[in-house]
Amino acid sequence: MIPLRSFDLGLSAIFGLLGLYMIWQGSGYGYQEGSVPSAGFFPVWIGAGLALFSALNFLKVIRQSDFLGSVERMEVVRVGLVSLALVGFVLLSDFIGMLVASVPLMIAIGCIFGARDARSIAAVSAIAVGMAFILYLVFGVVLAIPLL
Amino acid sequence: MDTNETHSGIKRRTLLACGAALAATQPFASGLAHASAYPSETINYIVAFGVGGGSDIVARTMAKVIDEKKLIPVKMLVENRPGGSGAVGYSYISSRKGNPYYLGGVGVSFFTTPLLGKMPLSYKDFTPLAAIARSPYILAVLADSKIKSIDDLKSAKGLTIGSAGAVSDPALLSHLLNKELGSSIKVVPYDGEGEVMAAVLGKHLDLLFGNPNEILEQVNAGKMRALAVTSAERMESLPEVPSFKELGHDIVHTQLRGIIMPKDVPAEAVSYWEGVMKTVSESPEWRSQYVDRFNEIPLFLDSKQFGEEIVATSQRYETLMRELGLIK
Amino acid sequence: MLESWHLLAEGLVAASQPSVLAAIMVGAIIGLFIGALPGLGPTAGVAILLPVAVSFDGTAAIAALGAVYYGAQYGGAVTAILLGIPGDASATMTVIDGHKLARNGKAGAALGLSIAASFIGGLIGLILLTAFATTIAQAAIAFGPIEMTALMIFSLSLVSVLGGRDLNKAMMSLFAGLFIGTIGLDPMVGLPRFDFGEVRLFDGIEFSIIAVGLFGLAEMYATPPSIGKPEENNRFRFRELLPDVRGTLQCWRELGSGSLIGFFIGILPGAGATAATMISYAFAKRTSKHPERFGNGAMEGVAAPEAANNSAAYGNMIPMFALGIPGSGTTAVLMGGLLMIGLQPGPMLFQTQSEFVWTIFGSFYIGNLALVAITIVLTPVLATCAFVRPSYLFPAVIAIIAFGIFGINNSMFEVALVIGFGVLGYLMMKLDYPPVPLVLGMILGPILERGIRRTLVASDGDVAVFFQSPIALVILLITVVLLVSPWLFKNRAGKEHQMDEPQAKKIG
Repeated sequence: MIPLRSFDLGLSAIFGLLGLYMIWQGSGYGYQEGSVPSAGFFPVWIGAGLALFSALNFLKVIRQSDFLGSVERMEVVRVGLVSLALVGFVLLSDFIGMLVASVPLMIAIGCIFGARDARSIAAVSAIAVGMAFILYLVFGVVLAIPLL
Repeated sequence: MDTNETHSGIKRRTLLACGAALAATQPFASGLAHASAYPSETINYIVAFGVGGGSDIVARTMAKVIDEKKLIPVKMLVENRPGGSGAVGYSYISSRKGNPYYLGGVGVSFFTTPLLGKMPLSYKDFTPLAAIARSPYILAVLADSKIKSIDDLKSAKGLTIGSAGAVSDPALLSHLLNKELGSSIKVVPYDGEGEVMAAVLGKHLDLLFGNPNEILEQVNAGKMRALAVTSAERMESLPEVPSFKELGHDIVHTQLRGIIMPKDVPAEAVSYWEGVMKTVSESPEWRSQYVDRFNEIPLFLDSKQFGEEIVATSQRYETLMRELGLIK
Repeated sequence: MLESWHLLAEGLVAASQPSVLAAIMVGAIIGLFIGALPGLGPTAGVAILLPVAVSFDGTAAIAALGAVYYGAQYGGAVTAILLGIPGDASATMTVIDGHKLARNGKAGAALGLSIAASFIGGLIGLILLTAFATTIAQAAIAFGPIEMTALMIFSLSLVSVLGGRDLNKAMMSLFAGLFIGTIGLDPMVGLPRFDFGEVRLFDGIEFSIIAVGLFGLAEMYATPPSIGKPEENNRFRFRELLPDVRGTLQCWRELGSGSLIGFFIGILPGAGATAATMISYAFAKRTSKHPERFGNGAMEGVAAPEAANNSAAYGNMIPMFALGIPGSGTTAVLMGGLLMIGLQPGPMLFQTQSEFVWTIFGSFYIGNLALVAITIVLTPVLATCAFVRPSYLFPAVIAIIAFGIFGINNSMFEVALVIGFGVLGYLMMKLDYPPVPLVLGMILGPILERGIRRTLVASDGDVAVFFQSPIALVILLITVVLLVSPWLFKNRAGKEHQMDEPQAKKIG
């Protein structure tokens, strides 16, 4: 179990820094031109708002220690694994093509979401190959999207 | 027209798509293949913008005319590669250096996106082939506007004019206009020509530089009045509207409908397409399906003339963008 | 007006000829299907079919393209309800309660309701379109930058109703959305903002990327894997797959208000449809006797936005047909279709091409009827989706997502972005950040910025002009009432029912 509090602090910090970054970048875009707002006007104010509310949230979370509960470690691992599988798909597509790369992607996702025994893995593999064919028909043929 | 046609439509597209896939897998082979008889493979017309826009309509109409008249012995596939204000599509074409099977059209972004310095390309990375139509802009106001002529613009105060995007032909023309007349008309950028038209009709803007097609529609409906055109001569469809030039203002700027290829394509490909485009430009099909339908001005410019116009246009944009502070 | 109905009757007859009927059916099915694919919405659908459709004859081409548009609205609800992924920005609100219903085993009821809402919304939108197209078009253009600014301020203030439990977190979500909205070329001076040196960000981030990441992937991440007893996940009663007629009829008020709000806000060019769904949802929640049920699987929470986005689709076509002004991405492509078959949309179209226009309107009525028939038949089949084990369903869904997102610009860059937004979405969900304000900010923020800056460019920085437009003043007044009234109301209610107060707070 991982307490969610640290995640919330982290996300608030990232959003807060993003807000500060917006103010800094935004002022570089030009805040005003004469009396008319320029390209940086909105980024500066949006950044200020984001930084303000993030800071407020940060303080609030620091004060309340057990507000959010926790999350299972496995669930976080799952998020990482699915993201990794997708990154792998993006990278592999360049070499072996999207359709071929989608088969291991689908099998991996199936395993992550519970297909652990041989029968389920076989079923997922069959679904993956079938889906790849359907994807080819739908995206490659009917919608005529130039697939990698 | 029944389901059969629908089917064949989809099937044809499928065939074309397969052709494209094949061509895409062997970009290097195609550079050599032309030696025997150009063209021997599918021609890919890359539209750097979405389906249904101005560039797309030019491309598809051109492809249709070429197909109907059987001007080339191979298929021509129109493919949209939008994104990055044209950067994605144009980079795609230029990366096919020396490959005479990739075509593209020329729009405003062809000049302005490279000038922003974010795309490591310029018009110099392409080979101009030919231009086959020219679209002037018409300065127009609402029919009940107090502005009756160009001279009225000089005295009027606080006028606003629309532009589709920050850097566009209308923006360029408005700056030229202010310089010529000594007026201070404010340019308000919108997201598209349609939005500008809506703002003028709703009296949120005073003026616009519009395409002949959209302006004529409003003029014929009695909603708008045309003041002047940006072509050197008057337009056939608006014989009573003067050109800026004849009014003594040095404002001549039109949008060219032309095609380009990647850099370093063989000379025979250039002359081949000059020939094809000349036939297209003189064909009644092109006249009726494009030029007359969109009220544009027919013309033919060969590779050299078109190239000169491209250089001149790019310089005009560069000047504008420097004045706007977009290029430092 | 009587003349309109006469012309419509002729249009219906003309639209019943076999070639047009075939085009409607093809368009409707393709639209339904593309709308249901996560990642691809009506704009993509119309764009994909356009090159094929222009090879039909004129009327059939536009009838088919129109059918793709409204077909995708029906299809979009399917993905929103079953997978929790809005196919288009205007389907975001449907996810909130629709997906909850599906997870509570009421997939059939939610789908059936969305079909009914789509049909009623579509029908009301169509009737208004038929009756008042030209008159309304004139009113629509009264909305300039000043009025749009006011409307956007109003819409953004809805965060107070749609924000969820923690207002501070809702505001963070809203501002993160506003940030995403600023990415790309500045609309007024053309300067690239927050492009991180990446040219593919020049045109901003596509909504479907956010939708798929924030809603779709996040939802899947949080689903427990189906190890062990698969039967438990698979058990469902057939009745749960069928539409719930009584529940649907009970939502008549939301269906009506949603349709009307959808139509009138949808007319306005820009983000009309999205703003309309959010306003109609907020309206339904505000006027409901049980606002606490919204967000937890309320039928009314599906009825209002679904009626609104379908009705808005027709409102959206008014500026295009009557003025030649596309009001959304989809109508822009549709207008390209009109131009390609040689018709110039605009004030002359109703006069010079009257027969064409009325045949198209007729085809819309027929298409809507056809879609109801198709979707009702498909509902039990589709609803089964909600009961498939994740280990079999998710691989297929994630692959469709990857391909659909790739198809937006034919590039993997967007797929990479989705992965990032998936993680963000998961974190936001776990940490109780509502995703709707982010969508609100991302879609409406850019319109607000344009409105304010356009106004100030024209007025030379004079802020007073915002208060000189009567329309804008009325909208701003409503905004103030919206923001202040719950406060006053709560104080009074608090005194009367002090016992209920803590509980209501926890749920709402």
